[in-house]
Amino acid sequence: MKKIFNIIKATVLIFILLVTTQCAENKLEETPADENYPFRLILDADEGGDLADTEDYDLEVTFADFIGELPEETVTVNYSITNLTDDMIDAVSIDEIVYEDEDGDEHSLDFTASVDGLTGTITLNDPDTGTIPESFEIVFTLPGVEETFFAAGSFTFSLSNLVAGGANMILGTPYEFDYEVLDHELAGSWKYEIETEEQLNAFKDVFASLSPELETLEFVDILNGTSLEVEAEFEFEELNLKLAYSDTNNEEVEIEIEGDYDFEEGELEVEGSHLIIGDDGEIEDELDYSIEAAYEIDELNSLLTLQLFVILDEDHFKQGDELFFSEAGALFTFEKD
Amino acid sequence: MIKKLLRLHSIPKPLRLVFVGILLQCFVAEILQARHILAQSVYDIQIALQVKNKTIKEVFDLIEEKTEFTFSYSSRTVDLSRSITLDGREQNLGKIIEDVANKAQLEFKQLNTIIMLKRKTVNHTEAWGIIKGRTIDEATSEALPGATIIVKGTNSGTTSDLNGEFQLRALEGDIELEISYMGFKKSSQLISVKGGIVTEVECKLANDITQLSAVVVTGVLQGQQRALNQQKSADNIKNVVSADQIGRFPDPNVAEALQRVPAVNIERDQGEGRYVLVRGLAPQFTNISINGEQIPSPEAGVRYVALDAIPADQLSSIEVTKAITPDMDGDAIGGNVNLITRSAQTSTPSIRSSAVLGYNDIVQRTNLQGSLEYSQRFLNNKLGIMLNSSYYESDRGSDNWERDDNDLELRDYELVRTRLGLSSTIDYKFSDRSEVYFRTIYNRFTDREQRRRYVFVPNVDSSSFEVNEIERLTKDRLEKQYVSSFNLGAKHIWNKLNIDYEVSYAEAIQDTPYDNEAAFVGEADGLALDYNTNPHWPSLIVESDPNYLNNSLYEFDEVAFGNTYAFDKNTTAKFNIGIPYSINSTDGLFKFGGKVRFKEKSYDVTENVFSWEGAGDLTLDQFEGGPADDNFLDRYTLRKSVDMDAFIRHFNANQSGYELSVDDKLAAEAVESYTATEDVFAGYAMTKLQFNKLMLLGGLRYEKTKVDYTYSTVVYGFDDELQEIIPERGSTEYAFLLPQLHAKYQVNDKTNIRAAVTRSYSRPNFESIIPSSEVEFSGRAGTLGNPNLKPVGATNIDVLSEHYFGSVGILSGGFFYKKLTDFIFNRNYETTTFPGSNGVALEITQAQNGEDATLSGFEFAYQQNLSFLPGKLKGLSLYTNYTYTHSKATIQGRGEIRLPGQARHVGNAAIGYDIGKFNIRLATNFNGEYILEVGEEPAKDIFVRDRMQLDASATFTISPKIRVFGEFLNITNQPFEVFQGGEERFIQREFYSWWSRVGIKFDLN
Repeated sequence: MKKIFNIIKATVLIFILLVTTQCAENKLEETPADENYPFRLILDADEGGDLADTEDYDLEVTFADFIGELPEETVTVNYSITNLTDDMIDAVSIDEIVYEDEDGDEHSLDFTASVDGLTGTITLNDPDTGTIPESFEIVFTLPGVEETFFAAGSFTFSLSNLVAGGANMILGTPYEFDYEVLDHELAGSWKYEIETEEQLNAFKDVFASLSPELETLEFVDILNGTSLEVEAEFEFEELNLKLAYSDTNNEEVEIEIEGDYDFEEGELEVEGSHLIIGDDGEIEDELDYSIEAAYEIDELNSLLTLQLFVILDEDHFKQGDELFFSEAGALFTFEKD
Repeated sequence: MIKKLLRLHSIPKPLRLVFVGILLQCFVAEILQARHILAQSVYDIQIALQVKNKTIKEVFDLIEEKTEFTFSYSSRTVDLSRSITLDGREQNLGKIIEDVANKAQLEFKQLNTIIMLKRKTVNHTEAWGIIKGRTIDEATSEALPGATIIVKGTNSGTTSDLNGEFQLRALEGDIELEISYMGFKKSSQLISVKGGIVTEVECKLANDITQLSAVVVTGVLQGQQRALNQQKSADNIKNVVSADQIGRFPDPNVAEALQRVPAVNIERDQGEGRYVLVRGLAPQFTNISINGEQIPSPEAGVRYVALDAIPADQLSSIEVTKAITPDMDGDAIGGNVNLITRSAQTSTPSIRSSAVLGYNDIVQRTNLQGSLEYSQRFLNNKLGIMLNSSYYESDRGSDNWERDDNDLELRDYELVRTRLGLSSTIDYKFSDRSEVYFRTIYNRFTDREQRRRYVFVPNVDSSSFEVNEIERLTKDRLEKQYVSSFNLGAKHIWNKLNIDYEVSYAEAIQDTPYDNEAAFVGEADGLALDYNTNPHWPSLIVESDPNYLNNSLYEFDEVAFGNTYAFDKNTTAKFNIGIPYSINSTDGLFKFGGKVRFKEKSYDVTENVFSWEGAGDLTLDQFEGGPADDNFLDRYTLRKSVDMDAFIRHFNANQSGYELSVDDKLAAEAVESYTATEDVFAGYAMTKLQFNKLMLLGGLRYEKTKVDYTYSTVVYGFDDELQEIIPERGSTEYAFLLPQLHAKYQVNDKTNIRAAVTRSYSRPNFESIIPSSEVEFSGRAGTLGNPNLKPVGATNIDVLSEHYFGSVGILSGGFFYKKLTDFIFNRNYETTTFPGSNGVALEITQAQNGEDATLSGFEFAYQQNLSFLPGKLKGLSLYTNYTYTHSKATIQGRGEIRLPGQARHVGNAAIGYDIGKFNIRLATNFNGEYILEVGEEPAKDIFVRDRMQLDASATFTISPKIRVFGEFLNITNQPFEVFQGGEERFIQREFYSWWSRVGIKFDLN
């Protein structure tokens, strides 16, 4: 009996030792709620704009990257259009909400709007199938062009009060979008026609390092009797340099160079990224680049003259190792489209 | 006159044959003559012979004096040193000789006037008895493991196990057992053996005061005695560290205790020993087992176990086997480290406990440690119960700078580590012949790490695409390791065989429930770093305006929340059967057995990385908390870092603004997760032969392994986007036949010469078979797993000579050589056939077999209590060992290099002094530099610099049952240092400062 008592006593002592010595604080005061992270419905951009004559504008609404399947519950979200200024007052509303399925077929989503069209509710579920698309576009009606004036102004579109019916879904950021009419001096589309081999080579000298397709393009690849048209599209903060031509098989070919631009008092800076193609013909890297240029606008003749000085990228930024450098600047004159 | 005709052991073998031939001729001639000259039969002679405590030799001398007979025998096989008493009542010479011969287990034959004596031949039809015994300390009743027990006058003998227990077989009759134990007086005991019966004996040994002189035998010395006795009586080359002996040095965990063993060095984490490297081979080459059974690793990619997870006070001893025997697992090229748990010894309740307080200088906090053990035997010693628990909690830290190319990191660590150990042993002896046992051990190790980092990234090229950056990162991570093992087994002894069998289950888990890190980034104008002026301390030059210490300049970059779960379990069954036998005068043991082990291992990873897409900027000052250090490493200034709790509160309240990096999550989780099964089937046969002073042990082991894996390869397309996650499956099989041969020659009672030639192997780590398999098309490169990877094979040669001192000590020296085949190395090759790569050539890195490596060296050890010195100097004791190791391996593109992890010089030196009940000790451990990572060229090789730690400890023995002690570690604040190429380019220097412990130990019996 005494021995059994000894065992019990030892067990109790060991237990007491363990309980009294569990001092280390290993629990988190705050635990992150990162598991089962909610589906987040967001706007694709928080600001944008288009030219004054634009009659409609598409804003993409999407779900941030997620894992798994979107829920089947009915999901609604309210919207509002606010801060309307100038010509946008009484002129902006949602025209339709559409999405394209995997087969390329277009579908509409239901929405209800107030009388003035400035508030309403969007139902995310396809009215026919009940499924929720991964992204959809809200098409706004804008004032567009009238005969004697160009529209001006801005507005704010915002989503709110997402109701997911028990599904693990929230409204994410950004949920507000600011629209403004793009009316600065560079805005719009400008064209430059390349008709000779010398012109092509001069253009390639500057830009070929930013486009592998341009680098390999030869004048003989362009259909005889046609020209290569370069279109510089100054959109909302983004410059698209599109080169279009017909190849010797009379097929349309387009080459694009993209970047974000900033300008001030005749100086233009463009920043973007370009692909590096290996000897095996496949992409090897993608490097950031920057362009320093000057511009001049001849309003009378609707001409834009670009003067390119320097193009650098992450591997070619040291003096003498630039992708392109010209102290005098390479000149290209574009016509307003 | 007694003629010792055959002293064969001292004659070379060819001469022995000649000599035996001559002797045979002599015998034949004598027998022929005897036909003509027949002497009287010994049974016809009457003689009065009364002797008391005389040796048999003296008795035979008397007979020779009083009669015409002479005795002839081989001194190699016949031992006449045993003492006997004859009362004189028997006067027939034949019967007297018969009686004496029986006592000495001899046979005799009369040839004329010559009495031929020889050792009694074993007749298996004769009755054998079993002697089962226990060797204990007469004063303390504690078990004495490693005692040598021999049947006097024979080659029959054994050694006591960890519980001091032994068993051996003997022919029916009276025998004399001789028990020897270093540091104790030799003892002998007369026993009457009866055929088929188990005779139990208790052998009490008394301390040899003359040998130990003025040294007070405390628990410390007892531990040393036990360890050295086990080492001395072992069949193979091994080192033993008893738990008591661990107390000699201020080593808080198993790894640090092992660093004191010759040819063992350790890898540290945060200043604490963690992994063990035996004979300069990386940790995966050493097998770690508990109670003789391999334990799984809690870590995901490896097989070896972090020994800081296991508290030393759970163990009764640690064995480091450097040359394996066929009954041991064969995957142990470096050796085998066996951790042996405690068990109940006596019917007297035994309670051991300790209470320890400590202080860590770098974090300026106290630590605590406690243990409690209860053990007792019940039911007439049939039932033994041992319960043990211990808990250790340590606040630690380190200050560290690291260099990565041109970037400088300042790392400030704070850690809280705990170790909980629970173990139990329940054994029950059904009878003298059968017993069962159930051993359990459970260890939980937790490591909460909070790390604050400044990363200075200078724009060294003045690129317009980069800026001088300072990253600020704060990490909060908890890692929990569980290692548990359950062994259920039984042992049976029958007259003609022994059998033992065991089933065991062991599992190891590494659970990281949270691993959170938040990163902020700021720009710093005029940032410059100078590594050249003083390679030990980089200079940091930062413009004061804007002030880089202003937390509002740092913007949120990303936060990572992760958790991982690694699981590894072994289910094992094994049996061993031993059959003793004798051939002429040679005793032997034939042993065979089998084993199956099924392993399951898996690793799951969760990694969620979030960026901020919400409104407004998040800056560090909004979340700052914790300490600020104006004098980090005595020269740098740090500001408060992110308070993770404050940050997580913001995260939870603003999920709408945090965006999950889905592709990164999918890739990270797929690339690291895997499952694997590994089935091992093994069998062996071996025999041990004892020829007087020479022991031979040889045998064969066969091990077959079948492995299956599932994992994923993550492919990034040419556009750098996640392209595909490919589920993969692989399997492989391999088998090894491992011959082992050991020899031990006992020059005298205190000197052994050992030699061993063994084959062993080492299974590849899981991280080699299934590394993070990733292919990046745009980078034209990838890393792939290799499920067909074969283990590394090794042929090992070991020679060791050891001399033991009666005053408890050893002088040993030896050399070792290992030839490794199929050495695993990372091979780079080009392929154009990887799916989806469109024929583009990819540079693939893959672990492959192929190259050979060799490793050789010598080791030396000397430890002795210098009790032979005069006066007060006799309290001195020395403990030293040194190992030199040389290796070379051929690596693709690099030619010959030294093996990674192999230090050329490893050693220990300690000096102790005993004054009465007071013992002090100053110990230093030296770990030479070794290669941590092999680079593409010598200048890129990464080395861990040599390190010498100085520790001190003192013990005061209040009574045999109560001791107080104090320990002072890393007195000189030795850093952990890493350099690249040469010491002019340090890339890491980590400092831990000193820490100390003060405690009391109770042994209540």
